[in-house]
Amino acid sequence: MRTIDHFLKGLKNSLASWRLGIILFVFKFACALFLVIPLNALLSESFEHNLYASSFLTRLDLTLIIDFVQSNIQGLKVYLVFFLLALVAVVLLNIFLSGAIFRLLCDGFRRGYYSFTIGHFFHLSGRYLFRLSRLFLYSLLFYIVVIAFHLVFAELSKAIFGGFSASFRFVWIFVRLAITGFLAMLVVMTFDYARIHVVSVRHIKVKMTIKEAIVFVGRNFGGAVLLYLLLILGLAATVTIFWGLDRGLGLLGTSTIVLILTFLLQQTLSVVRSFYRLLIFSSQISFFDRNREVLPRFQREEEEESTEPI
Amino acid sequence: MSKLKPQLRPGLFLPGIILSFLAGSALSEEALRVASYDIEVQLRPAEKSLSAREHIRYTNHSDYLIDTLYFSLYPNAFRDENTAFLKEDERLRKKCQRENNWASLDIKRIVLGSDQLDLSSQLIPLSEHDMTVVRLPLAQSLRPRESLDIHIEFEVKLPEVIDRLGYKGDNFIIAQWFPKLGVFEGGRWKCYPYQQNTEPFADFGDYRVEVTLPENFVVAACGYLQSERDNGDGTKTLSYHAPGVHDFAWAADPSYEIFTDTVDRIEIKLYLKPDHTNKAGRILSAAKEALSYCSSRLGRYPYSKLTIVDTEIAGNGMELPTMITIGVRYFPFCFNRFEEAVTVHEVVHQWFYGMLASNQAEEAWLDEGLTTYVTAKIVEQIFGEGSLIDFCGLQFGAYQMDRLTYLWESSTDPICQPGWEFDSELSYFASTYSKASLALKTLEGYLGSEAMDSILAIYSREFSFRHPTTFDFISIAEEVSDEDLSWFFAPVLFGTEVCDYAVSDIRSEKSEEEEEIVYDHRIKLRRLGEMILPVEVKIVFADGQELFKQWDGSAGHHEIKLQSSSPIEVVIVDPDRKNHLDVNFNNNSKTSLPQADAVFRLQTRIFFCIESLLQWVTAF
Repeated sequence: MRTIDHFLKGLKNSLASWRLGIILFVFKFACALFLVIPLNALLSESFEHNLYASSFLTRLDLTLIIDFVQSNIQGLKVYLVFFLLALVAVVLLNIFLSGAIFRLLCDGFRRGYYSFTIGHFFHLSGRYLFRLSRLFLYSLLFYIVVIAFHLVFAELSKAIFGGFSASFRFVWIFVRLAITGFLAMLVVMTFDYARIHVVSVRHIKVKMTIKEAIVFVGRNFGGAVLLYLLLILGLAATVTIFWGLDRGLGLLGTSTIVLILTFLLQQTLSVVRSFYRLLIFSSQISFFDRNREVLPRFQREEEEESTEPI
Repeated sequence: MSKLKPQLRPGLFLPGIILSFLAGSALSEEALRVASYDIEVQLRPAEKSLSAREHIRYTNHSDYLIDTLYFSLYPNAFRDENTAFLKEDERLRKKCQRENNWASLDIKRIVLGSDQLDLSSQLIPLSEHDMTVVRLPLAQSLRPRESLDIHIEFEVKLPEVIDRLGYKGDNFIIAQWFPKLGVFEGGRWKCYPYQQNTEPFADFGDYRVEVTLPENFVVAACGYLQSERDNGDGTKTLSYHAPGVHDFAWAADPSYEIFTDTVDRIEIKLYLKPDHTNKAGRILSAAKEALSYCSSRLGRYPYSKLTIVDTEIAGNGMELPTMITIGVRYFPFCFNRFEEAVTVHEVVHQWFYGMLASNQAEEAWLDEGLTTYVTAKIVEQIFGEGSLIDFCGLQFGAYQMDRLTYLWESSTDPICQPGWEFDSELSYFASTYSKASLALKTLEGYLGSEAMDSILAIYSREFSFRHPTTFDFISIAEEVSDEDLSWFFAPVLFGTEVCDYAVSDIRSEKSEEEEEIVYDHRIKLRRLGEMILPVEVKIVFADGQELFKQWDGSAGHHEIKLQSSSPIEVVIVDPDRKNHLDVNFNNNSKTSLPQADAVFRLQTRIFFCIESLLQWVTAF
C-alpha cells in the first residue's frame, strides 16, 4: 500500500509540475529535430520523387533502404559522426537541466509549491552541474562494472553449464539477462537517489552522496525495488496502450489525416513519457523523504537551503 | 566453346515443364567412371586420427599420355602456419597457433599396380610450404583408355574443427580427408592448392568405403549403407557404396538422433544432435520441397537417398554428393528461416555440384551462383517474398540478402574468375554467390521465366555427370533464346562494371494549339554506371495513358521528347524490375508530384525513433 501511496503522491507532484514536463518534452523534441534534419535532407533527395517510396506507407521496404544506404554511404558516415557528437552534447545538456528539474520537483513535493522563473531555473541548473556531471561519470563506471559482471558471468556459465541441454542453456541466457537487467536497474535507482541527495544537501562530496544512496537503497531495498518495479510496470502498460492505438490507427489506412494523427499520437506518447520521468523522480522523492535518516552534520545545511529566486 | 557445344534436341523450345521431364533421364549410371576409390578407414576417437588404406582405379579417358599423377591432400592445409590457406586467413592462423590446433595427411606408402615398390619418397609437393597438392611422376606414361591401380596407406591427424574437417567433442566431420586425384582435362591436370576461395574438383567414380569405429558411434555418410558388422572388440565396421559420385565424406557422433522422411521415392535421413531435434520438422520439410522443385525443373534426383547431417563445420552448410551438412542452432523461435534456406541451398547443390561437377576452383559461380539463384526461387515459392527474416513487420527476403551482399562489393571482382584471384573472401562470396544469382535473375527478366527454366533444364540434362564450363552454359542460353547473348554475358560475367540507370529530369511545357492544350515533354535519362544493358522506359500520364520506350542504354545520357495532351505523372526506367544488377533502384523513377505522404511517414518514423532514443539515453 505504501508503494502505491508513493506512486500516487509522485503522480500528483508530477502533474502539478507540468512546466517541468513541458521543458523535458520540448528539450527532447528540439534535440530530435536537430538530429533528424540532416538525415531528412538525404531522405528527401532519394525518395521525394521516387515512385517506389509509396511502399513506405504500408511497410518498411528494405530494398529501398539498402539502396539508400549504399548510394549515400559517405554522407551517412559523416552523419553518424555528427549524430554521435550531438548525442554527447544532448547528454551533457540533459545533465545541466536535470539539476533544476530535480531541485524544483523536490521543492514542489516538500513545500507544495516551487518558484519558477527562467533565471532561477538556469541558476539551479548551473548550481548542480558540476556535481551531477561527476555523478554521471561515476554512474558510467557502475554500468561498466555491471557489463563486466555480465561478461564474466557469461563465461562462468559457459564453463559450468556448457554440457547441459540446449533448452536449459537457452533459459539460462534469459535468467542471466534478467540478473544483469536487475543490476542495471539497481544502478539507475541508486543514482536517482544520489541525485535527490545532491539537490537536497548542498555541501556534500559526490562520493559521499553515492555512499549515502547505496546505504539508503540497502536499508530500504524491498520498498525501493518494489516502487521501481511498479513504475516500470506502469511505463510498460502506457507504452502498450499507445502501441495498440498506433496499430488501430494503422487500420484506418494511409491517408494524410491518418499520418498526421499517427504523428500526433507519437508526440503525445513522447509528452507522456516526459511526464512519466517526472513521476519516477517524484515517487522516489516521496520514498526518499519518508525513509531517509539524515546524518546530523547535514541537517543544518538542508534547513539553510533556499529555493527562492535570486 | 564450339567443341563442347551440345547437340540440342527438337524439344529445346518446348515449355520448361516438358523439358524438365526430358531432363529427368540423367542417371548416376551415366557418369563416366574416371577415378574409383575403395577405402578402408579406422577412426581412433581418443587420438583424433584416422588410419586408412586406399585403392584408386584411375582410367585415362583423355586423348593424351599422362606421365604424372596429381593428388589433393586437403588436411595439409592446416599442417602449419605457412600453408596457402592459413596465410590468407590471419585470424584463423593466429587461432590455430594459439590453440596449437593442426591437421595433417601423411602418405605412409604408395604403390602403383602390382608393383611392391613404395613411391612415397618420390612424391613432390607443389610448393615448399604447401602440401595440399603433391605430384608423382610415373615411370611409364599412362596411355589413353588405359587404367592404373594406385594403393595408398595414409594417416590423418584431425584438428578441432577447422573449415570442413575435424572434431568437436564427440562429433566428427570427415570431409576432404583422403588423397584424391585431380582432374586431367585438356592435356593438363587441374589440381589446386587448397585456399580460402578454392573448392575441391574431382572426377566421377564409384566409391566403396569401409568405416571402422567404436560401436557406440552413429555414422552418417554419402551413398548407401551396404552392411554393418560387429568386430567383437568394441568396434564395428560399416560398408558404404556411393556410385557415380565425385567425393565421399562421413560424420560420426554417439548422440545423433535419426529422423526419416520420403519424397518421390527418395529417402531423406536427417541426423540431428539431441539439442537440435526441435528443428527436425522444419529441416525435413525444406529438404522435401527443394528435392521436389529441383526434380521437376532440373531433372530427377538420380539417387534413392539423401543424408542431412547436423555438424559444427565453419560456415552454415556444406554440399557433398548425396549428403549435405548444416549447422543447426537450438534457437526455438521462428523469426528467421536461415536453416531452411541453408538446407534448400545445399539440396540444390546436389544438381549444381553433385551432378554438374563444374570446376569450383576456377568457375565457382557455375555451382554457387546457379544454386543461390535457384535457392532464392524455392525459398520465395515455399515461404513467400521477404520470408528469410520476418520479425515485427520487418521482412527480409532471399533476393534482398543477395542484393545486400552484392552492393557491398559490386565492382571489386568479376563473377567468373579463378577463386584465388578474388580480392577477399567477401568479394568472392559477393561475386560468385550474390552477384551471380542476381545476374541470372536479370537474365530471367530479359528472356522470361519460361526460357530461363528451359535453359536450366537443358543445361542440367546435357551436362549431368560431366564438368560443364561457363561457355557451355552460355551456349545453352544462346540456343534457347536464339540470340547472341554476348551483350549480356560479357559485361556481367567477365567485367567489374557497375550498372545504374536513372531518370534525371522531366520538363514539360504547356501550350495551346487550336484550343487544345498540348504538353511538350523532355525526359532526361542517364547511365551512371559503366555497364551497358538495354533499358525499357515507362511513361505514365495523368489521364492514365501509358507509353513504353526502349533505350539501348549505351550513351551516357538519353533524351526522350514527346507531346501529349496530358501532363506526365511518372517516368520509370526498368518498370518491371528486370535488371537486378542496377545498384540503385531509388533513382529509377521520377514522379511529377512529390511523394509527400510517404516521405512524411518515413521521416516521422525516424523522428520518433530518435526521440525515443533520446528519452532512453537521458534516463540514466
